[in-house]
Amino acid sequence: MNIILNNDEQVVLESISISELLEKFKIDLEYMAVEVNQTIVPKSKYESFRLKENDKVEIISAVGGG
Amino acid sequence: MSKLIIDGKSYNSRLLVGTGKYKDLSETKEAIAVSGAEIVTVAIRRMNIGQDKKSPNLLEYIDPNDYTILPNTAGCYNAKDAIRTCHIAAEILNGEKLVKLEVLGDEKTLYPNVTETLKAAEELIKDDFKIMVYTTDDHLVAKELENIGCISVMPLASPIGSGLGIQNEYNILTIVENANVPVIVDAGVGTASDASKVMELGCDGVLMNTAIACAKNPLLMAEAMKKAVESGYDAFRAGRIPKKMHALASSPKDGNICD
Repeated sequence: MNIILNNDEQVVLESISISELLEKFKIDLEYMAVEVNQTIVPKSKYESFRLKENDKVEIISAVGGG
Repeated sequence: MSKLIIDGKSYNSRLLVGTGKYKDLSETKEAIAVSGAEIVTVAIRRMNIGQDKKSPNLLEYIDPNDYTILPNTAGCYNAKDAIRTCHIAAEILNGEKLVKLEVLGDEKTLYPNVTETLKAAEELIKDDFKIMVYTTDDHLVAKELENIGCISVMPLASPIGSGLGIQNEYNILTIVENANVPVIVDAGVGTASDASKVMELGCDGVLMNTAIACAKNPLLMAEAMKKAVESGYDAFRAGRIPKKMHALASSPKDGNICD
């Protein structure tokens, strides 16, 4: 199925979980956040939260700034 | 030296620093260590997602166990985006709700949009965020932000990244006179004497990024800023002499051999 991940289209497995998505893109960070359709998915829900077709996913972290 | 208290936590350093614009994350880490800063700002952004390489992450270099991480809302031009960014920041930092709220007005000046800043602050405070707020040099606005519950006001001294130094000395002074929360000048510092000046005005601290990160030698500038903030703060506490129009001799008149 298609999702929008950080503003780019991606093809992923049907009903992929957040954990599986992070694994697929080799993201393993202690300090990060995930939003799906502008709602935060807490870290405790990464295993259980499953994505749907056309979901808009943002994976966000801290970068240098003033 | 009395300590800076922010959100119930006391800090030895009155210098707060940003993490942007450094050559790389190693330099960021080194410069911040040299500066002695204990509160460090970060921005909140989408990650670069690649299939192969694991790119280094800022918070692997600036460990939240060693520093107070102060996420900013830089790049937000309305309350809605700023509120969303703060909630994301809290999720990134495992529930920490100390944030630097900045809602910008336009790209040319990066001046704060006061209306949206007030709106965002009110909403965020209802959600238990602890707001340090970037604001104009207007003491009435600073007071209003304090009254609605912001824990620190952070007026600009000149535009962000401009290095123009303190262009509004008396406005900053008026904010300091009226405030009952820490006043931390955020933006405008170009060199060490600017940081000293901020502290000599009686501010509680100063936040800078570009002045250190974009100096020819960031590590040396970090050290200079550390000393400048300390000496400016000491000079403020020591109490400067009044300014006079004319000279006043330092040596005694009595016993002068030059008749």
